[in-house]
Order: sequence, then structure tokens, then C-alpha cells
Amino acid sequence: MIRLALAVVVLLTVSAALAFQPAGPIRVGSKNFTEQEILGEIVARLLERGAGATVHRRFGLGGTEICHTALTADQLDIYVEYTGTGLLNVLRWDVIQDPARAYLAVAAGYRDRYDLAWLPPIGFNNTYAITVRAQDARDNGWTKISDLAGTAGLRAGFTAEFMERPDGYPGLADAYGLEFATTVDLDPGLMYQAASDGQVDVICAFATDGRIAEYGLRTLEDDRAFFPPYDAAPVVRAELLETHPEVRDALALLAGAIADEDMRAMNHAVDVLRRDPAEVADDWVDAHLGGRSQTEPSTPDAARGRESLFRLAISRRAEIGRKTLRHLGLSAAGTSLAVLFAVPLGVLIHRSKRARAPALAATEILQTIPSLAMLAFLFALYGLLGVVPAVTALVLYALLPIVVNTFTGLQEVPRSVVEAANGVGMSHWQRLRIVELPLAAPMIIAGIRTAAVLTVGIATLSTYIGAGGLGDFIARGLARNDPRLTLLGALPAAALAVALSLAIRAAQRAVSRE
Amino acid sequence: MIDIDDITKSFDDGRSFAVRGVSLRVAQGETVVLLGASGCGKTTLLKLINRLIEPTSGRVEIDGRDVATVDPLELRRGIGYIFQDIGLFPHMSVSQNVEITPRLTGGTARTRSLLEAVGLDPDRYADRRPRELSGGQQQRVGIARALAGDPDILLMDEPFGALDAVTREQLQTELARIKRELDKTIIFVTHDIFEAVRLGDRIAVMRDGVIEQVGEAERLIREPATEFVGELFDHARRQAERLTEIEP
Repeated sequence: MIRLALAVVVLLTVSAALAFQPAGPIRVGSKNFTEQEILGEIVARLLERGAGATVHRRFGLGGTEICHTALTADQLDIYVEYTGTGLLNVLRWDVIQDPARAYLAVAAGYRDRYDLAWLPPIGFNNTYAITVRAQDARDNGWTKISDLAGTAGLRAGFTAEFMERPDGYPGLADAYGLEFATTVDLDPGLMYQAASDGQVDVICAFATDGRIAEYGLRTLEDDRAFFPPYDAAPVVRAELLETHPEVRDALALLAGAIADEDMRAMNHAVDVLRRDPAEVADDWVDAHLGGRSQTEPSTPDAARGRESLFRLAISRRAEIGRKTLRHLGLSAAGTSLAVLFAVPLGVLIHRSKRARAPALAATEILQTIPSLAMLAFLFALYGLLGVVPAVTALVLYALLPIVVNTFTGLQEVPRSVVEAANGVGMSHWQRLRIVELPLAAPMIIAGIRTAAVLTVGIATLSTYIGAGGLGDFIARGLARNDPRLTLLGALPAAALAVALSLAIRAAQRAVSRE
Repeated sequence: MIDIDDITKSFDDGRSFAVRGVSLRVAQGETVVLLGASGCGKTTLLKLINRLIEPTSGRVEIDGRDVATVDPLELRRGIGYIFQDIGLFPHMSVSQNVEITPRLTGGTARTRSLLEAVGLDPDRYADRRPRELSGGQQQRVGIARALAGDPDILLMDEPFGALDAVTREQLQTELARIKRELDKTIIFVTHDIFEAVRLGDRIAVMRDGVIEQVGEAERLIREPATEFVGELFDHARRQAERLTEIEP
């Protein structure tokens, strides 16, 4: 009897625990610029501290397309989007100038088409802001974008996304009759500095970026009301809101809570004062939720911004170690899987003259596909973020050097040796295994070495589809124009490439000595 | 015994013939030399025997068995094959090279005695790589490799063609001794008439894919069946006389 009671109690406790345990982590994403990372972190902390949820962070994803596809493919639960972007780039509807109507339209469109919910707007409008050097504006009496129309010889530096968006350069040039002498594609993290240094004259700044004032730049008024409103708001999978109503409650705090100048100040704290986005987010959550988070005490801002690369590396050594290991894992997985495909392919094209030209052409074409395009394509193909598409891309890039070297190595086996192998009565397979592959081995290993170094380099881009690795540091460093962060990723990546190359060369020597 | 019966090989669907209607019998323990200029079809004829090349028509029997009915890999493993380019496996030691045929058939090789039989000291050479050996030493290993499966038949395709005259003579002497001691049936391809006379029990003179005459050297010299055979030996005699005219 007692036993039965005990069993019932245990059973009840377990099922209660199961019922109240948040099922699976909530996956929060962000695009790859500072503001997005701060907002992603704020959302994540509100969910953790407000709703007691477990959060999985997938920050630094490479653009709107990847974030949106990740939501619809159930790879992500939530990220912060902007109404104008949703309207024009995702739904591909026309500009709606009124902010409230734009929000309602985009929310309705997302609900009907994608089963995604827009939560209330956060409050600020991160519109594109056509920006020039303040000095130039004063000298030429520029205050609005239409003032630029008559000026010849201006050099524009725009982000790649802006160059292509309907609400970007093509529409802008149309609406204002602008003609620039040159336009170059710039990384969003670098364009402020480029304008300040006089490398370009006009940039497509983000209105909430903290660097506009810092770099002596000035925003021109959109006097023809070309840009739509870009009010930021969290976009969530509707299913998550049903199964986890606490998510809506936890994020209700965000509604109208961050004004333009608040966002600008937070961006400034990261991009100019070099504070950690997580810390800045934490401060905001503390101020609005009350209480102190469980994160480590922060270094004073002034000290942190000027920390040497060495000190920064020491203080983040655990993170560097983790990311280096992940990076090694990605590269090693990509290279070794490539060996499994490439060596048999090399043997095939050695044996079959007919397969040779098409197989070599195919691997060569793979090699010429830009890495980011390949990652974006594979992500869309799999509907998966992270390691799977990243490793697939690495495998595809690693094929060529291994296939070519396997083929060349086999072709270079002397005719007389092949004839002797036939003469002593080896089958094709025995000849390959006993004679040809061992003789081609140094060449094949050299190809593997090339592939390994190549994949270490390309793996730095897998950060854009959330696969992690040292690219995380590099992308963040670029987004914040912080060379120390970039080096934090680039130096271990270079070391990793050299180490892998040396290790494989040692293996190659051992094989040659055999 | 090898019995080649009316064998023909064309590489271009009958427009031309590398070997045309050749018949030849080689008795157990006999050495027959195929003598001819390059391109006369002697190497093709050799490769038809161990099916490195398949005939267009005709057949080859070994000890009464049609080779077309034997698995070609089994066939080759049972026949020693030696050729001019030697083709030692450069990534294997001398002993590994010698042991390759037994390795394929699952047998064992008496590597030491084989190396001794071809005049190489096993203690000095067994563990060396082919690139550490001279050309003559490499071909000695090539012969040991061909003997390792204890085959009844050796096919030798200009085995000494790339060697200098002194080394060639040494190896010819070795081969004559091996032949006596081991009682092998040998078909030996060469374009060197002196080598042919020295090693062949009988000589088959080949030209343009056909055998002009087969027989012992004496008979070929005394009773040449064709003008070509006669000129071949006259030419050789004039060369030899030119050397003997010069008294040292």
C-alpha cells in the first residue's frame, strides 16, 4: 500500500515536472549587424528571465533572406524584423508610407502567407538614411536628399543589400533623379569610416546607427518620402505563441519601449565604446525588468574599449577555444567527407575517359560559386541552419583539389609499372589497391592538404548560416568595425590552417618514406 | 607445352594485322626466340599467350588446355612475365616485389633462394628499394619475381634490351644457367640476332606479323626459307667479320 502510494507520488511529481518544463529551447535569431545582435540578446534575456525559457541563440545570420527562410523552415522561432523590409523584400508589396498601416499590412501578410506573427513594434524606426560628411553638407548647403541631384562627381558607397533592394539604390536614384559618378558595395560595418575618410561621399547609413555623429557625418532629409517606415518588431512563429503563451507576455515589455535615440545610444555603446552587445542588452533588461542578471560583472566601459588585443584574447580564451574547436570540426568534417567522394571520383575519371571532362568541369564550376551564395543556396535547399549546410558547402569546395590530385597521381604511375601489375596477374581492383593508389598517395595527400587549408578559410563564412566557428568573431568585428574582434577570429583561423597543413605534410612524408 | 594455332590479331577491325595466321609449337623445357624488328608483331604474339591481348581468331593451348577457357588472372599468375621496362613496383622492397605473385595466389615464396638463383645476395638486397639498384640488378629482381610462382613457362619480352652490353652478357649467362637448372619453357622476344643464337633452342624469325621461318640457328643459316631470313643472317655475319678483322 505504502509502495503504491509512493509510486503514485513519484509518477505525479515526474509528470508535473514534465508538464511545467518548457519543451525544447526557444531559438532566437538575429542578422549580422550590431543593432540586431543587441535586440536578439534583449529578446533572449526577456525570454530567459521573464518566461523562464531555455534559449538557443543563433545570431549573426547573413541577411533577411536567411532569417526569414529559417523562420518558415522551423529552424528559428523568433527574430526582430523591420516593417519596410518585410513589406518590400519579403512580401514584395508596394511601399506604404503610413507607419501604422504599414505595420498592419505586413502583420496581416505574414499571418496569411507564412503563419508568422508580428508582435507590437518596439518603438524605433531604423530607416535608411542617406548620409554625407557634415563638412560637405555645410559647404554645399545640403539639408535634404534632393539637394544632391544637381551635384556631379559624387561617389556612393552602399551595402550590397541596398544596391539590390527595391527600396534601395535603384528606386532612390529614380525618385530623386540622382546620378553618382561611382557606386561601390561596402560592408555595413565599414561604410561610416569610408565616408569619414573621404573614400566615398554618400552612404546609406542606418538611422539608428551610433556612428553617424561619431564620424562627423550628417543625415539628409528624405524630402520626397521615398523610404518606407522601418519600424522594428519581433516576428514569431504563430505556433510558438499558441504552445507558449508566456512568450507573448515576456516580450510585451518591448512594445514601444525603445525610441530612436535609445537604440542609437545602445548601438553607439557597442560600435564606438566597444562594449559587449550582451552587456548592453543586459543593462536594458535590468533597467526594465528590475534585478540583476546572473552574468559575470562587467569591465568598466572605458577600460573595455581600449583593452589590447592580447588582453581581449586572454579574457575570452574559453570562447576562442570553443570556436576554434568548432572551426576545426567543420573543416575536418568537410575535408574528410570530401575525401570519401573525391578519391573514388578521381579513380573513376582515371579509368573512364568519357567521364573525365564532365566530372572535372562539374567540380571546377562548383569551385567558382561564391561561398556566400553557396551557403545561402544550400540553406534554402535543406531548410536547415547550421552545421549540415555548412559542411556540405565545405565538401563541395574541397572536391576539386582532391579529385584533380587523385587523377593526376594515378595518371603519373609509370606505364611499365601498370604493365607489370597486369603481367603478374593483378585484377583491376588489386592493381588499384596494391600499386596505383600507394604510388599516387603523396599526390592525393597533397590535394587533401590544399583542401584542408581551403576549408579552414571558407568555414569562416559559415557564421552567416549559424554554423559557428571562428567566423563569428570575424563577422562581428566587421559589423562593429572592431579590428581586434576580427583578429580574434582571423589569427586562430590562420594558425589552424598552418597547423593542419603541417600535420598533413608530416603524414605525407611518412607515407612517402614507406 | 605451348601450342599456338593459326592465331591472328588485328587492332583496327581487319584493316591491318599485328599478327597474322601464326602457328608455333614450343615443347616442354624448350626455349624459342621470336626474332624480328620492332613492329613485326613479336610482342603482340607474346601477349596473346597470357591473354594480355585477346586474339581476333585462332587459339593458344597450354598443356592441351585452351587458354581462352582459363581465367586470365589465374593464367597470368601461372606464367612468369618479364619485359624490357622491368616495371618493379617502386614503393615496395626487393623482397616484396619478388613475393607479389605468391601474395596474389596465397602461396609463399622462397625469396632468399630466388634472389640467390638470380645472383643477388639476399642479405644485401632484400630490403632495398628498386631505385637503389642498377638496371642489371633491377632486371635480376624482375626475373626472380617472374620465377616466384614457380611457373612452367616464362615469357620474356626483350628483357635485356635496355642494358649495357656487359651486363646483358652476364644476364644471358645467368638465364642460360637458370634454364638448365630449372627446366622452364621459355618464349623470348628480341631484335638482337646474337642474343637469339645464344639463347634459343630454336629461332622464329618474324616479319610483318607472320613467321618467316622456325628452326635451329644452324638450319636458318644453312637453309634460309626466305630471302629475308638469308639477308638477316648475312648482315649479322658481315657485322661480326668487321669486328674480327681488327686484331687487338
